[in-house]
Formats: sequence, C-alpha cells, structure tokens
Amino acid sequence: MTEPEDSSLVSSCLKGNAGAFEILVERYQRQIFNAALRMVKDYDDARDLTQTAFVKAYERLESFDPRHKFFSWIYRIVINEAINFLKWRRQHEALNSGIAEATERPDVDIENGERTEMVQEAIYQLRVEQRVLIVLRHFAELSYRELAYVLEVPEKTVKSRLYAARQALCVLLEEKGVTASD
Amino acid sequence: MIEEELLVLINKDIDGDNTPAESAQLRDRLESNEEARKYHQDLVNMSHVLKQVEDVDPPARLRHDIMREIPAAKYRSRESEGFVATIVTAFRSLRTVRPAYAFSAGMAAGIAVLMVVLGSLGDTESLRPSQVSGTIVEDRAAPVTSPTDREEFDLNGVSGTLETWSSVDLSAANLKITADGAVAVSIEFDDAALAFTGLEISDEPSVSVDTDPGLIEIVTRASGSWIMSFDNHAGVDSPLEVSVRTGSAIFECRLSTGGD
Repeated sequence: MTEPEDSSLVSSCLKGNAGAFEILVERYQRQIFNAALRMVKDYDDARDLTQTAFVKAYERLESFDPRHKFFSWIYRIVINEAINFLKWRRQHEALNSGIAEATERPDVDIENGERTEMVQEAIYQLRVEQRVLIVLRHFAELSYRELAYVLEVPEKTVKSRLYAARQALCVLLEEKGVTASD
Repeated sequence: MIEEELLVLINKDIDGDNTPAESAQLRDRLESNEEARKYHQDLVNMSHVLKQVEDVDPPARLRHDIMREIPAAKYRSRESEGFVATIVTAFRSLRTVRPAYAFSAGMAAGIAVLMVVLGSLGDTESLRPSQVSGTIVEDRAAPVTSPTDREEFDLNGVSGTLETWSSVDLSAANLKITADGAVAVSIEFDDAALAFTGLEISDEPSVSVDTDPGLIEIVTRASGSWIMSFDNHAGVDSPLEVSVRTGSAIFECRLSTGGD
C-alpha cells in the first residue's frame, strides 16, 4: 500500500482530520527526537522539545509553505526550540552555578556506548550554530538547500559555516582520540 | 593554509557531490599537499564516526503524548461532515422508520441551540478543583425525542452533563463540561455492539481526543461539548462506561444507549 504523501496528510489535517497529523508524528518523531537529543544532550529535554515542536507545528499548520518539505519545516521548528532552550538553560545554569547532568539514555549499546558518548560530547562542545549544522547535515542528512531553509541563511553561508563546523569537530574528535571503528 | 578551491573539493568529496573529474583532480592535489591530505583524512574519519552513531529510540509514549497535547479541534470546525450531517445522513438511510426523521430534526435543532449557548458561554466559566458530586437521571419514557439516559456531575468544580440518545440502530452521546482546568474523560464501550462513527467538538483550542477501538479519551482544559455518534446495528443496549477525572477526583458512571 502506498503511504500518503506528507502534503496530503497536511491538507487532510487542515480539513479537520487530526489522525492525519498522527501519521506525520509517527513518521518523523524518531528523527526529530534524535536531532533534539543531539542538540541538548538530555533525554527528557529532547522529549519535551520534540513534543513542543510537533504541537507548535500543528498549531501553525496553516502557515506551512507547501513548497518546502514538511520534515524541513518541523526540523526548523525543533531547532529553533532547541536554540531557545539552550539559551534559557545557559542562563539557568549560570544562576544556579552548576551544570545539570545529562539524563541517562536508555537502550544504548554498551560496547558502543562509550564511543557514542564521546562523539556526543564532542558535538555538544561545538558552538550551537556549528552543532546545528553537524546535526542537520550528518544525522538528519538535509541537503544544502534544505539547510538554508531551516537556518534562514543563504546556501553559500551554510557551506562556509558547515566547513568550519566540520573542522572544529575534527579537532575535538582528535583530542578525544575517537576514530571510526572497523 | 589550504586554498579555498581545494577546501571546497574536499568538503564536496565528504558530501559525495564531486564529479569523476573533480574526484580525479582532488586525488592529484592531495598527493602533493600534506596539510590538505591530513584535513581530508580527518574529515573522512569524522564522517565515518558520525555514521556509526546510532539513533536513540524515542520514548514509547511520545506519539501518544504529542497527540494528547495538540488542540485537535483547531481545524475540525471546518469539516463539513459535522454531527448533524452525520445524523441526517444516517437517518436518511433508514427507510422503515419515519420517527427517525423527527428525531433527526429535533437533534439538529437541539445541537444548534447547544452550540449557540456554548458559544455565548465563551471561556468565562471557572474551575475550582475541590468539589465533586454526581446524579443520574434516567428518562426512557420518550425514546425518540428525549435522552435515553442522562447524568450530571459536579467534580471539584468541574461540572457537566452526559446524555445518550438513541433511535433504531443509531446512538449518540452528548458530553458537556464547564471547566477551566484539566479534565480527562474516558468513554469505554463494546465495539462489537457499537461502532463509533463520528465526533463533533465545540471549537475549543485546548482539547485533545484519542480514539481507539472501544475507547474514546478526551482531555480538555476548558469548557466544551462533544457529541459522539455510534451505529448500533444489533439494536442492543450496550452501555457506555464513563469516567471523568480532575486532579485526584474521579466520577464514574454507566449510560444506557437504548436498544433492547
């Protein structure tokens, strides 16, 4: 059976079929949750951000521009939410002069867990604007055009920023001695 | 210092965007440039490392939690297939029972009045979570023009009514709540006897509705009304088991849906 297109589901939702939105949630919750997790490095915060992003997407569905892909749009929402959250958390942590411990993530393979954690740590040490690019390009696999839409900057800017982000991440991975396994 | 053009070629290689000619050019230039070679190797390593990082499973209830939070009624008021239309359509298919038309007209008029009344109420009613009581008023004397069953509840300041209506092989439940705090309502029914066919919701932004076979769950944070319709082809009295919760207070009841 052919799965309904995102655009059809959005149209159906705007006609009052909330079930159509549930299909979109099912389709993209994993990607959006993981993008949020890589941005904020906390399981519970990532869950909350994912939930907020989808609820906001539903509330603003009328403003969705069908010339873009739904998943680009929802990425845009969750990334903006994550950036705002990180600003808030930085202020909050400064006020409390302590850094919240990242929540333990369930279901992480023990053997790969340590390396995954080091990679995540390296990503988290990037500046937020660099982290976004690594997450969206290398994990979400967005095209440069989609990145430009999500980040609201020209493609040329995306490329130069991504190149710098990659270089910064290479340095961090090298410092941690993280290399690709066989 | 790696020149810009070479930097672009290296990054395009990581993206898999180089043409065969560009790939050949990159190989040649890397051979003679140690710094660029190391940079390229670092990026290849980084790319492989990132590919080996596995996704984390999201919380099992994430989708459910999202759907509970969305204002499901936001776009529903535009749907032309409202409850009245559903009722009329259903009754038009009944050739044998003329009273059904009377019920249909009465129901439509009643709903129209209900919508006007609810619209005039707006969001001004308030919830004070600490009082609960409930009464059941059963009226089966007039099966077509009166409710089959009816309940009233006043639960921690959340008040409301539940009514069921029935005619031939169609049943409907009308839930009205006055509240400005969180209220959760679950309606369980035997889906072998009752086939849920439609839901009409007053235009409230703070409501979510989940439907599963044999279960309708409504969570609202404001006053509203919900009209649920069911096909009851067997014509049996298959009850609705209703639970209304606010805070720690629970009101439970059973509503008849008519039939034999």
